[in-house]
Amino acid sequence: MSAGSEATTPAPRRGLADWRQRHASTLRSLRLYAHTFSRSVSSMLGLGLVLLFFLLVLIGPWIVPFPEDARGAVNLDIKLQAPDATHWFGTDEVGNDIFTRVVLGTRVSFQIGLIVVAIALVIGVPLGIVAGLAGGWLRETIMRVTDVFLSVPGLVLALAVVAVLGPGILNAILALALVWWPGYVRLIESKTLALKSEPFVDAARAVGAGTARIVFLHILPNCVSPIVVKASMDMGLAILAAASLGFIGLGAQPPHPEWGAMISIGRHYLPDFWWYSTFPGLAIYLTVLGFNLLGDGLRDILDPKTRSR
Amino acid sequence: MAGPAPLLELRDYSLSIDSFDGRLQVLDGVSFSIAPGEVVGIVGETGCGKSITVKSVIGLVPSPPAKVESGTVSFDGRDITAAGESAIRRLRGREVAMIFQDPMTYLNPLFTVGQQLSDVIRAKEALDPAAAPRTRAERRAKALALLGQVHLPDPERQFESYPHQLSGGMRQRVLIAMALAGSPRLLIADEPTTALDVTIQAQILDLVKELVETLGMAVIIISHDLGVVAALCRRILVMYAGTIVEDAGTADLFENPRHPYTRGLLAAIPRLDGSVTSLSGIPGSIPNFIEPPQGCRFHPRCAQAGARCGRERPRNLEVAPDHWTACHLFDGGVE
Amino acid sequence: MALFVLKRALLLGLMLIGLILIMFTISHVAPGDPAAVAAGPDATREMVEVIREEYGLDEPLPVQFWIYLTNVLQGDLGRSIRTTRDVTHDLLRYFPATFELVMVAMLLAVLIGVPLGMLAAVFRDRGLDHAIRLVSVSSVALPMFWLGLLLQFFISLKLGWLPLGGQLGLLTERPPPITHLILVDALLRGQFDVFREALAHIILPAIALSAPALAAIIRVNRAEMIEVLHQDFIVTARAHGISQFRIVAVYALRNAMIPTLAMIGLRFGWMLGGTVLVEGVFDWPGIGLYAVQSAVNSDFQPVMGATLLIGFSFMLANFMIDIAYGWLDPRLREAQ
Repeated sequence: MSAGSEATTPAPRRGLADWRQRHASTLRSLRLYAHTFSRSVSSMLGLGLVLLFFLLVLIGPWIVPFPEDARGAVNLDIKLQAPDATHWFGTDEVGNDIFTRVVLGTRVSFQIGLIVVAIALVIGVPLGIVAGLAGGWLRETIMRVTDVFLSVPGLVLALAVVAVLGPGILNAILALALVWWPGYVRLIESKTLALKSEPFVDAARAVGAGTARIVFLHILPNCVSPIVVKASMDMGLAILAAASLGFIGLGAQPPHPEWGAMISIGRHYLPDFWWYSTFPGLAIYLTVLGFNLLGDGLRDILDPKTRSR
Repeated sequence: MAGPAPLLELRDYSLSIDSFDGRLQVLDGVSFSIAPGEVVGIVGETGCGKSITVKSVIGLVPSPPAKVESGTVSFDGRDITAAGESAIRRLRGREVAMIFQDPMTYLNPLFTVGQQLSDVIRAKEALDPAAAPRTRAERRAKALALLGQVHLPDPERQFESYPHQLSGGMRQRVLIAMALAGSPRLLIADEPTTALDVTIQAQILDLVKELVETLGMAVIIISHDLGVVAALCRRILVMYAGTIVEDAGTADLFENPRHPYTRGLLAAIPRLDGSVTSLSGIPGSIPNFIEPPQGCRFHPRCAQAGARCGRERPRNLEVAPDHWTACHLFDGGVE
Repeated sequence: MALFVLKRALLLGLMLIGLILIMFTISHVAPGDPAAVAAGPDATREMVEVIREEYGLDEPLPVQFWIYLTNVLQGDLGRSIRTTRDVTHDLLRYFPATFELVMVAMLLAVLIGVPLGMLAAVFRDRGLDHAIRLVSVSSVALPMFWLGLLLQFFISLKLGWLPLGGQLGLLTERPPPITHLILVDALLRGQFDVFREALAHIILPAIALSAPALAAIIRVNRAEMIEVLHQDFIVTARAHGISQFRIVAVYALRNAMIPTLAMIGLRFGWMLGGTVLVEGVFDWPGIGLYAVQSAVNSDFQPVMGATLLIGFSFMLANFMIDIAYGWLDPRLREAQ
C-alpha cells in the first residue's frame, strides 16, 4: 500500500479491502490467468525451457569449458571422441568440444530469432494497421502483396533470397526477415478491422480523437496479446528456419557454432559418431519446443478465442 | 399424492456444478412428480434452474462438472438417478424427447432436414428391440409423415432442404417432428417459442396443444413467460433459485397465489389495460449460487420475510387441495 | 458456382503474376550485375554478355519484367549452369518424385492427424489428450532434417527395417512410366514387388516430411471438434438418443473438417517447402534437392524456377480447397 492511499483511508486493512473491491474484476482475471497458466504442465515446461536457454545466452561464455573452440580451434589429436567427463557431448572432427559449441550456439540462434522477429514486427505491424484503417486501394495493395508472399513457403523464398545474396549468417537473417513480416500484416489487419468497428473506437472518434490517438490508445494496446503470442511462437520457428538454412549450407558457415550447420557436417559421421549431430539437434528441438509451449500457454490465457489457429 | 403412478418423479433432488469461482449449488431439494399424460409448466426467471433440472434428469448436463448431491429421480417407477449412459440414452431416445429454445442453432447446418430426421428415426429404432428395422424408403416415408403431422408446408421439398433455407418457425416444427419420431411418453419443451416472432409463437403453441390432445403424452413446458404456460398447462411449478416454491393447478395459481415470489411474478405481467405500476415486479436479483442465502433462498428479496426465513428452510406444505408451497407464512409464521 | 470458380481462377492468375514480380524483384536486389548473377560465378565475360542480351538486361526495368514474365508464362525458366539443361526440363523431370512424396506424407498426416485430433477432443484434458498433445507439439518442434537423420539412424541403420534413401534400390529398374509416379506405375504395371520396394523407400522421408503438418492437423481438428461438440445441434442429437460414436464421427467431424481442410490446403505449400530439407537427407531425387544443390552452387535460375513451381502448386492447392469448401458447406454453396 502506498502512503497516499493510507492517508485517504484511516485503516490500512480497510484500505486494502477497499482496493480489492474496486479492482475485483481485474484481480479475478489475473488470478484466472495465473491459475490457468500454472495448472498447465506444458505451459510451465515451456516457460522453464525458454528461461533455461535465456540463461545460457546470458552466461554461456563464462561457463563453457573450452570457449576458444567456438571460434574454430583445431585439436586434431582429440577429434571425434565419445562423450566423457571432460567433453560432455564429445568432440567433433577437428577436436572441438561439442558441449561448448552447443551452449554458445544458443547465442547465435537467439540473436537470429530476435532480429528476424523484430524486423518482421517493425515492417508488419505498421502495414497491418494502415491496411486495416485505410481500406480502399491501399488496403487491397498491401493485402494482395501479403497474400502473394504467404503463398510461397517461407523457407523456399528465403532459400531463393540467400541464393541471390550468397550464403552467410547476415544474409540468412535478412532473407528470413523478408519472408516473415507478412504473417504480422495479416494478424494486425484483421485485429484492426475488428477493433475499428468496436463501440469504444466509434465513441473515441465521436468525441474528436485523431487517427494517431486511436491507433496508439485503442488499436495498439489491444493488439499486444496476439502479437506476444505470435512472437513467442515465431521465435521458435525462426530459430528452426535459421537452423534449416544452416543445415542446407546456406546459413551460418562453419566454424561458426550454429546448430544447423553443425548437424549438416555431423550427419556425415553417422552412425559411428552419433553424438556429433545428436546434441545440436536436441538443442534445436528443446528451444523450439520451449517457445511453442510458452506461446501456447500464453494464447490460452491471453487470447482464448483464437485458440484454434 | 393421489391418482395414477407418476411417470417422472424427483425427490429432494440437489445438483451442484463446479466452476473456477467455486461450487455452484444450482438445484436444492427439488421434488415434483408428473403423471402420464399430464401437461405441466415450469416457470421462473432466467437462470433459476428450470432447464438444468430437466436436462440433468435426462443426462444432458455433463458430469463432471455437475454432480448429484442428493435425492432420486425415477421414471415410470424405475430409479434412474445413477443409471449409466446407455440406459439414459435409451430413455432419451425412446421415452423422453426434448425440444429446445433456439431452432436456429439446434439443427446441424451441414445436413439436410431429411438426413437429420431419418437419422433420428434410425437411432430410435435401434434403441427399440421390438421395432423391425426399416429400409431407407420406409424411413423416408415415416419422416415425411412426421413432417406432415407437424404441419410443415411442402414436406417433400423441405426434406431435401438445409436448415438455413427454413424459417425459424419451420425449423421448430422440424425439431418437434424429431421429438415425435420415437412416440415418446414425455415431451420436454424448453422455452419452445422464446426465439420466435409473436405470430409464429402462437402457431407453435397451437401445434403443441394439438399434439398433446391427439397423442396423449405427458409434457413439461419450461418458460419464463407465464402466458405461454397458462395457455397450455393444467398445472404449474414455480421455481426460484434452484428450489420449487409453489406447485398448483393453473387456475388456482392465478387466482390464489400463495408464495410471495409467485405473487411478485404474477404482478410483473404487463397488462393490456396499461396498468404500468405492476411492472416494477420484485426488487433485487437472483442470488449467487456459490453462497446461496441460508434458510429460504428468496428471503433477501422478500417483503414479508422475518427472522425465521433466514434461519430455517421452509417445508413444502399442501396449503389447499393439490396446492403446495414452501413458505413459512403458511407454516406457523415468520416470527 | 461456375462464377465463383471463374473468380477464384482469375485471382489465381493475378497471384501468379504477383509471385513472378516478387521473384523478378529478388533477382534484381542482388548486389552487382544481374546478368553476372544469372550466369553464375564461373562465367566468362562473353557468357555474361550473352545472358544480358538474351534477357534484355540493359533495357529499362519494366521491359525487363515484361520479358521475364512472358518467358516464365511460356515455360522458359532459363538454363541451369550445373546441369546445362533447361530449368523447365529439369523441373518436369524431378517434380513427380516430389509430388509422390508430398502426397504420401499428406496422406499420413491426415490419416493419423484427424483421428488423433478427434480423440483428443473427446477425451479433453484427460491422459489421452495430454499424450496426443505431446505428439503434436513434438512434431512441430523437431527439425525435419534431424528427425530424418534419427529415423535413418534407428530404423535403417540400427534395426535395418527400411532402406536409407533413394526411391528404389540401386539394382531395381523403374517401372516403364505411365504417370511417372513410381508407386502408381508399379501398380498399373502389376509389378507388386517394385511397389513394395518403393513403398519401403518412401515411408521414412514421408514421416519426416509429414511431422509439422501432422501437428497442425491435430491441433486444428481438436480445437474445432471441441467447439462443434459444444454446439446446440449436438445437444439435439444427444437428446434424441443418437449414439456418441455417430455424433462424434459423423455429425461433429463433418463440421470440424471444414476448417481442418483449410489447414490441409495451407500445409501442402509448407510441405513442398519442407522437401528442400528432407530430400537432401534421403537422397530423394525431387525438386527440393534440385533447388538446394543449385543454391549451394550459386546456380540461380533453377532456384527461381523451383520457387515459382512450389509457389504455384501451393496456390493451386488452395484454389482447389476453396472449391471443396463450397461442396462441404451448403451455406456457402448458395452464397457462391
